Order: sequence, then C-alpha cells, then structure tokens
Amino acid sequence: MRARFEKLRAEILVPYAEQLREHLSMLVDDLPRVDRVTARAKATDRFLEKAERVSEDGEPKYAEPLREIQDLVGARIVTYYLSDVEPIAACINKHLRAVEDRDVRPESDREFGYVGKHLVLFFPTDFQAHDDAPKVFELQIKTLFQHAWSEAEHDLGYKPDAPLTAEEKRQIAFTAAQSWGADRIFDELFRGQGD
Amino acid sequence: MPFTAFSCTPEKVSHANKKIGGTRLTQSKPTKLIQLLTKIYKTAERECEVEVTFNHTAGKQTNAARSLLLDYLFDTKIGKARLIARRLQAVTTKRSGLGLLFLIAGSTGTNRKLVVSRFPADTGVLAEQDGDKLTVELIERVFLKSATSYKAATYTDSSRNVGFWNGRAVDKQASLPANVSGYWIREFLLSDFRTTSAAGTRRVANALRAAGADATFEEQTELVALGRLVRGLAGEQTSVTDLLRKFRVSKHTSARVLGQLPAHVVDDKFVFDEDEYDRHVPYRTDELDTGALLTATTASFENVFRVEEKDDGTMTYSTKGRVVNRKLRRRS
Repeated sequence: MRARFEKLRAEILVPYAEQLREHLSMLVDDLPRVDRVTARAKATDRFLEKAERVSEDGEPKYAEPLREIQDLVGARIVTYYLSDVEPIAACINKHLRAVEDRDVRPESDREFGYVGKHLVLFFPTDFQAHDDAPKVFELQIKTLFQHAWSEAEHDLGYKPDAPLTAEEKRQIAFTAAQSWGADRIFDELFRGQGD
Repeated sequence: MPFTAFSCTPEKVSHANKKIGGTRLTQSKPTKLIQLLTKIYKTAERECEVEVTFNHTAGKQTNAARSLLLDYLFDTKIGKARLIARRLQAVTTKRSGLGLLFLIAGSTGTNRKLVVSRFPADTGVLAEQDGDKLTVELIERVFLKSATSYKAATYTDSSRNVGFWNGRAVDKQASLPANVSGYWIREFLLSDFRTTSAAGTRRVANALRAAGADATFEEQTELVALGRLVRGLAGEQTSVTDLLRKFRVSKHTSARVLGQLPAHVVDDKFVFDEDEYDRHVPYRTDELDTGALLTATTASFENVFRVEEKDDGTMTYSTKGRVVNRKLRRRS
C-alpha cells in the first residue's frame, strides 16, 4: 500500500495539488481579503494512518483507501474575517461541483475546538483525467485565526508517542475559545466599518 | 445482467399514485429486445453525452436519487427497481407523457455499472404485407428509442460509500431551446451538469480571447463576430464544438479556438451563462492603422459604432454622445 500510494502521490497527487492551487487562486482572484490559497498532496504517513483506521465494529473503515479517502489532495483558502467565508464558498460553488458543503463545529455548544468550512468538490474537468486519479478533493475555507489555531493544534495533537494530557487538551480548548472570540470581535469591527 | 422494465405514467401534477407495471426480462433467449438493451448498455458512455454529478443534500454527502439507484444496483430486486420507477413517475409531467423505463445492471471486475433508460410512448402504424395485400393497424403505446426525446443515464464505480457521485446522462429534449425536460437530470436524478455554467462559459470566453492573439485578420474578424453571437446562447446547453458548429465557424478559426483547450474538454456540455461571459469578455476593441483604438462593451459595440467600409478597405467609425471621462493610460 505504501509503495502504491507513493507512486500515485509522485505521479498524480503532487502535480494535481499544484494545478489546483493555481486554479483556486484564479477563481478567487477578484475577491477581497484572501490571505492565501494553498494545496497539498496528503503525506504518506498520514494516508497510511487513515487507511488503516477501523470502524466501531472493528472492520476496516475503507475497503479501497486509494479510492475512498477524499482528501488525498487538500486545499485551503485563508481569509481575514468570518464574513468573508461564505462569499468565497459561493464563488467556489459557482465554478466547481460539491458533494459536501458543511460547517465543522464542536459537537457540543459548550465546547471549543476545531471550526471551519469544509467542502468536498470534484476536480475541474479541465484537469487531465487519469484512471487512478482521485475525482474529488477537500477544500477548507478558514479565517486567519481558524487557520493558525488548526495548524498549531494539528502539530501538537498528532505525535503518537506523546499524546496530550487532559490538562493540555483543556489548554488547547481555551486557545480555541480565544480564537473564536478574536474572530468575532474582528468581524464585528470590520462590519462596523461598513465595507 | 438483469434487465428490468417499468411503465411510468406522468404524475407530477396529479399525484395519483397509480400502480406501476413492471417485469424482469428473461434472457434465456437473445431476443431482439435483449439485443437492443445489451447494445444500450454497452454504448451508454458514448450515448450519454453529458457528465453529471448528484447534488448534495443540505451540504451532506447524501442524495435520494443516488441512494435508490445504488440500492438497486447492489441488490437487483424488482421491488427496489419499482421505487426508481415510482420516483420517475412522480416527476414526469403530462407533457412528457407515458414512458417505458429500463434498468440494466452489470459489472466488470470490481466495478459495477447501471444504465437507466427511458423510451417515450408514441403512436405508430403497423403495416403487414401479404402478396399484393396490405393490412394497416394503428398501434398506441409504442415505445421508441427516439432521437428527439430519449433519456438515459449511466454510472460506473466500485465504492458504494463514496463512489457513484458522477455519471453520464443524455436528454435528447434538452438540446431544444425551451429545455422542456430539465426533469430528467434535475428532478429525477437530482443532479446537475458536472461543468457548471460559470466554468464552461469562462472556458469559452478565455479560449476566444486567447485565439485572437496570433490570428490572421480574417480569423480575428470571425472571432469577433463569434464573440458577439455566442451571447445569444444564454441558458442553452452547449459545448465548445457545438457552438463552433452552430455558428459555422471556419476550419482555421475553429482550430485556433480548439487549440487553446485540452482535447478532452472540447465536447464537455454546460449551460451558457451570458453574465459570466460578459465578465470575461467585457470589451471589444478595433485598432486602426491610424493608431485609433475604438472600444465599447462586447454586447453594445455594434450599436455604439456605425461602421462603413470603403472599397479601398478603409473603415469609417462614427459615434455620437457626451464626453463623461477622458484619461491618459499606460496600456492600450
């Protein structure tokens, strides 16, 4: 599986990611306050970890990981304010077909954690079709604060030899609350300026 | 390969919930019908000319039409097929009339394939000759694979969980300007064209603009004329090759336009969006050898400027209005 993925990654996923970054950048070029557009092919270790996941019943979650995992190529558009997220999503949805479009939130209203706009979209038909190429990619649209928090949290939370303690998890949740608050204050100030 | 057939009467307005007659066709003998359906199955990808995608449901990765089709494909019981027929019946209007629905399921390796095919009903005359005698009889409820009203869709994939979100469809009525039967793709399949209006239209606009870069004067003239004419395609299903054919663009100019695009997208169907086109090709400029640059919006250029061509090839442009702005510019 590793060898197959690495071959796919080198031959298709990495070129697709670069092409996707350029395409998305072109689509949002006219929109204000887009901080950055990035795209990446999934790292091999991350793919293998996901491919080996099991469901609650103990069975493999993915019968065909190379075909079923939908973020083999992932992209992110980072913008300044909460109010900017939906216009960017609308622009993307105007040009690409989505099979999923959801706002990711903590399960409980009393929790603070990961938030963001996630879409699963078909690659543009302009991309050269390969039999082994994935058909869809995952796009996240985040504010600067959401992006900064999720990057740091991802880095801290994915070290398998040193899992987070309960106290550390609470500290991270605290920072998520601060990020959530900062987003709201900046968005209020921005809208108050009447842009 | 199971073949299942259902007769579907229009019920979109009446909601009469009439019984649906259905049958599984036996394949013990290769009858002409089985041969026809086998051919439909094998040629479906070519005949279904539009790539379509199922719509998500309120943002979630689910779709009622997809679920019904996959329920049948992975367990070809007639009861599951009947639910698909029921769905089609519920969205069919009287204008579309009675139809015969065929479901053909098969597999190749790990991939499963489903073809959904609708024949409309018509009235025909059966003529039988015996020597110099001819008997004629009117037959109602004849179902024809009509060139003008046939509908089909096909899906091939392996993963039931995350696959089968895209397929191919054909709706012969959709090419008519009135687009009377958007129900096949939009209401029955709960789908849309994979290439959005904005994406397909942007592709055309960019190709026309880029094609002019190294074009001859005659090609440029043709491209400018084409650039105006395509605006008349607003709301119509088209592709790059369709519109080049429709407007009888010359071989040389067509080659210039097609050369700006990857080969695999030139037949890609989409619905033309006039507003999106105007965003990408907002202006037309004619440049004279005097240094004059005459610019107006693409849509209004021929109304803004009156153009007279003399026998010596020189052109006189005239227009009238009040000056609202004057600028010094860095670029033409």
